Amino acid sequence: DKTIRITLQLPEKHPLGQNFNAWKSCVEGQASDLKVQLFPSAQLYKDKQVPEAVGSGAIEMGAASLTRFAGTVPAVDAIYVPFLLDSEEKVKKATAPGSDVRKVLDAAVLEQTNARILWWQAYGRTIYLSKEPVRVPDDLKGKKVRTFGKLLGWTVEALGGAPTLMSGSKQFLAYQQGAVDAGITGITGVKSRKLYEVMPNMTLSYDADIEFVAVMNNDFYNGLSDANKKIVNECGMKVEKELRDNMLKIENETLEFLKDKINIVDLTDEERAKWREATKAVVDRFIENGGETAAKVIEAAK
Amino acid sequence: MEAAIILGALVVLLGLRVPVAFALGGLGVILLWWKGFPLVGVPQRLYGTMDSFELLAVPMFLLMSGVLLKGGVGKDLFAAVQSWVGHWPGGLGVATIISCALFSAISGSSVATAATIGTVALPEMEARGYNRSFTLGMLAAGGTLGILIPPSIPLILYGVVTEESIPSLFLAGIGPGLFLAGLFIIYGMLYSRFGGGYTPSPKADWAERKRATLMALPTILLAACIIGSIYAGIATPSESAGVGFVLALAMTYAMGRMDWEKVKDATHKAMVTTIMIFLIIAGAKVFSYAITLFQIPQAISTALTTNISDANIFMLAVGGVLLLMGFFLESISMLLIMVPVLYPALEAMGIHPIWFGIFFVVLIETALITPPVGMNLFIIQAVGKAKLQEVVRGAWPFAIMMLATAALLWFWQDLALYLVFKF
Amino acid sequence: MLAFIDKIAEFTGKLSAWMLFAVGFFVTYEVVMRYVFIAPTIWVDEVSRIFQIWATFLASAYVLKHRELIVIDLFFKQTDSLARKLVETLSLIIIAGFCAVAVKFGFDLWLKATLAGHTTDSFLAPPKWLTHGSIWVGLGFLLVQALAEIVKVWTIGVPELDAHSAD
Ligand code: NA
Ligand code: NA
Repeated sequence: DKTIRITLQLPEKHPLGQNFNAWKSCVEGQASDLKVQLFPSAQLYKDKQVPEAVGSGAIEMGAASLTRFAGTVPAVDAIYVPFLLDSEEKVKKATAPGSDVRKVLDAAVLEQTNARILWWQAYGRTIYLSKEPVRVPDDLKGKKVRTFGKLLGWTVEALGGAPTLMSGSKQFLAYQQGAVDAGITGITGVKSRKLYEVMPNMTLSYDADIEFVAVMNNDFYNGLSDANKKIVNECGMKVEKELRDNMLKIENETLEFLKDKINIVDLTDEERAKWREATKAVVDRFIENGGETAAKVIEAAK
Repeated sequence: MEAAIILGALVVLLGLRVPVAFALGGLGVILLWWKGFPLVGVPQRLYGTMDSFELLAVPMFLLMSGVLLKGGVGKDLFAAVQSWVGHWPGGLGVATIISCALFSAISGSSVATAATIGTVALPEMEARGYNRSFTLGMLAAGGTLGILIPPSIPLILYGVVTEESIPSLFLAGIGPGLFLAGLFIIYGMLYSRFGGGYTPSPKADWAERKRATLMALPTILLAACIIGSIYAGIATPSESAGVGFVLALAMTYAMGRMDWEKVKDATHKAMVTTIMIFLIIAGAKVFSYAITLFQIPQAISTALTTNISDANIFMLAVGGVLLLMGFFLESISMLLIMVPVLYPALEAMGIHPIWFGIFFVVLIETALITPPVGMNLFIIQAVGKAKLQEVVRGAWPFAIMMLATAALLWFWQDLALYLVFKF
Repeated sequence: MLAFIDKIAEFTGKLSAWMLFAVGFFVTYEVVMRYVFIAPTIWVDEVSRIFQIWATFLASAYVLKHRELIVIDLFFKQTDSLARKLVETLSLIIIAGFCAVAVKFGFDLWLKATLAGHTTDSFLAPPKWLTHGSIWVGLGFLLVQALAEIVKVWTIGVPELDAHSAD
């Protein structure tokens, strides 16, 4: 018998934690010799350690935001290039299993870290939380903005703000105490982390797509029987589809939940055009920094 | 059974004078190796533990306190508080707890609270002839208020894990926090009144109070800067501690009380205390990594929720288990491991989740001052250059008061919930 | 040889103390830049953490040398007894063993990240050879110090002084 231990960042209650529970049921239902154990809420590793912990085999599996791999594969930040994936179809196409974007990124991550991506987890799109309502880039001028990745920091710089990196769990206190004026996060996080209690405004900028990945140590994977390899992969594909199909619904439900708790700012087409214009240069900076792989991913995503 | 063997092994190692940090860390490594878990997790866990900006509050507050101490400024502050409450029986003890409660309103951590107030208050109380064990225990216990009186790092984590409201948790912490502070003050006064042994301070007249308060004004301003910078959103606790350190340097230098030798000495002492605390935290993290992978805490919690259906017995059992685990686990691990398993059982038992968060934190506080693994015991031991037994001897009455408060909370839930639902 | 090892511990201890001292000024600079000039730095948070990690592991040998590690001082109090020497040796072996594991696996991870040219995933993106070297270098010194202390226990004897009263 083999045990697959999984280190998760988010609580088990979060849709992404539930997604892992679905995978566990699927795998344990089909493979009698595989057992799955979840370790949620970063009990074992912080999110930024997941690539190394899984790659080195300290733990069999883990989940982390794709951007946590940026230190080894800078091209993963492509999904954050502003307005590159600006529609539901583009997101679906770019993140579909076997898409050109995924072929390049999954292979690069495997080669660089020895962590095999089994499936992607949709986390929804980015929004801005702020003390003062934000409609156009000028509203962010001179503001301190929480980001969670290098590339999103560049976006904030392009918009005229001053970026500060901060992990998800620290947002609440930072917003409450006013350590930053605004922050980028995903819609579901606003509900699960209770951020609506400390930030009055939410701008639906939808400038980028947030993806998590479920990774397995490649040596462990290679040690599985062919039948079990098939099971872990197919269960991964199954729960990936469930989450992706569900994400729009989850986002809408969350918006419904939030609508009387926070001021929701929806952008007009002209306003969004201003955001697009202001952040145009970020893609060049990204390609310059991420090299050939980055260029390939951008090409594939277009 | 496995759990009993592991805890027994830890006790033996500690009894054999293995330093706490390495008894925990070494046992963690042995456990991982025993069950064939990859040891490559050890350096990663060590690195991840120290790679934390929040922990930086520890050396920063220690540096600030060290400078204030060397500059003789702590004495001014104490003289001022003392001029107001010093003539009460056990007046310095009262001042100490008040200082801890005030500092708790800045700091989300018990470690920082105990270290800062401990460094300032301990020499003063000793100079006044207060019983050493009593003083050490009071400081260890007073420091634990740091996680009950908001802000509180454990309450934030509880809110995140359970998706309960963090401001509600903060509000709920105020009542029990002040209640405990009051209890500590009363105990301190009674102990001093009947235990005796200290030199009572004479009652200060108004001129003296004015003079002492003026002398302490720079320090009070410094404290205001620290509190203000956090609540005004200018700085995080670690940052304001760093700023406090630099301001303390500037202030004592301007007062002509600081020289290069004192700076060197304060820096060196802060380093030693920091490292002895950090190594224990790192060792504890390796140990908790191993027993989490062994699924020992998870198994205990699951056994609780599946075998008990009566809420009273459930709470009694939960309290007992947390007390037991608190002997050996450091607080954050205890919370992150136990809460997700216990939380689902609450609704079935009719237990309010906000209330439970406060109950949990009171037991974490107790764990901070119960041996053999009690972070505040270690800090006060380090600050006071004391033996662990001395601190434990002074701390156990406070641990009992905390347990009594936890029990009282069960019968008087409004102590926590009143502020949440009436405001 | 012993004197040389002790010298290194003294040096790394001092270095760590001044690293923490410097961090106080870094974060003050950050607060001023962010609050007064609305120009938060991208380096203070990360550099401060790197300093903290290095300081912790580098200074561990110093803290052991001066017997400033926290011990449950209940049994074997007689410093010149054979039992105490044996117990002391056991402690030092456990410390050395712990370090050996951390150094071995920490070095492997470090080597891999260094050869691959990996960085952290932050704005500043410092190379991992710089950040992750802290574990095996710092605990490597501690490993050597623990072995030196074993030799001292059987030649010079267990330090008579209660370290916590040596002020
Ligand atoms: Na607090
Ligand atoms: Na304890």
